Amino acid sequence: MPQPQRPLDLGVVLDRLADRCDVAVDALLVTVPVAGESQTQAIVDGYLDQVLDTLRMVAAIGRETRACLGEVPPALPAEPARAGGWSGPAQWSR
Amino acid sequence: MTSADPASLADAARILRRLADDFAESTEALRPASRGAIRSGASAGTRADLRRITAACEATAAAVRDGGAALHHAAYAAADHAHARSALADDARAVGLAVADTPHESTPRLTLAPGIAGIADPDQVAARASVLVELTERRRSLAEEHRSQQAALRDRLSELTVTLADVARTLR
Repeated sequence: MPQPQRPLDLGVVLDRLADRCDVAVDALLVTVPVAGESQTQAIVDGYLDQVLDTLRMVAAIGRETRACLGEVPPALPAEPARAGGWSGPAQWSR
Repeated sequence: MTSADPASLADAARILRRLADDFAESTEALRPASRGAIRSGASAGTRADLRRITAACEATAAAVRDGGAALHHAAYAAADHAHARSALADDARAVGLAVADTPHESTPRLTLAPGIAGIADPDQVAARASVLVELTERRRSLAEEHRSQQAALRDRLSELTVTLADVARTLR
C-alpha cells in the first residue's frame, strides 16, 4: 500500500513548482520567436505574454500555499539532467 | 512583413514543451494532496488552494504543450516555405523571367523580362508566356498555403491564450 504523502513532501513540491515557474519566465523573456506577418506576430506575443502571466500567478499562489503549510523545506534533491535540454542562460530545474 | 525565423520559433517551442513536462510532473505530485490523501494540519482554505493549483497546473501543462506544438509546426512550415519560395525564384530566373523577391511579400513576383522580345520567334515568346502562367499558379498556391498556415497558427494560439487567461483568473 502506498504511503500517504507527508506535508514536508508537499512543501518541496510547491517550492519546486514555484522555482520552475521562475526559471521558465526567465527563459521565455529572452526568447524572441519571429512569426513573420505582423498580425501573427502580435498573436504569438500575446500568447507568450499570457503564459508569463499565468506562470507568475502559479508561482505566487504556490509560495503562499507553501507558507501556509508552515514547514521549512530541506535542500531540494537534484533532478536528473534531460537529454537535449535547455541550454540557455538559466538552469531549468533546481 | 518580416520573414519568419524557423529557429526562433523552434526554440520557443522547445521551452514550452519542456515547461509542459515540468507542469505535468508537478500536477501528478500535487494530485494526492488536492484529493485530500495527505495527513496534514492544512486548513480547508489551504486544501482549496491546493486543488486550484493542481487544476491550474494541469490546464497550463496542456495549453503550453499545445502552444509548443503549434510553434514547432510553424517552425517547420516557415522553413518549408522559405525553401519553396527560393526554389520558385530560381526556377523563374532559369527560364528568363524577371523576379522581384522582396521580404514584404510571402512569395516573389514574377514578370516577363523587360526589353525587346522575340517577334521573330513567336514560339519562344509563347513558351515563355506559358511558363509564366505555370509559375504564377505555383506562386499563388504557395501564397495560399502560407496564408492558411499563418491563420491556423493564429487561431490555435488565440484559443490557448483565452484558456490561459481563464487559468490565471482562477488563481486571482
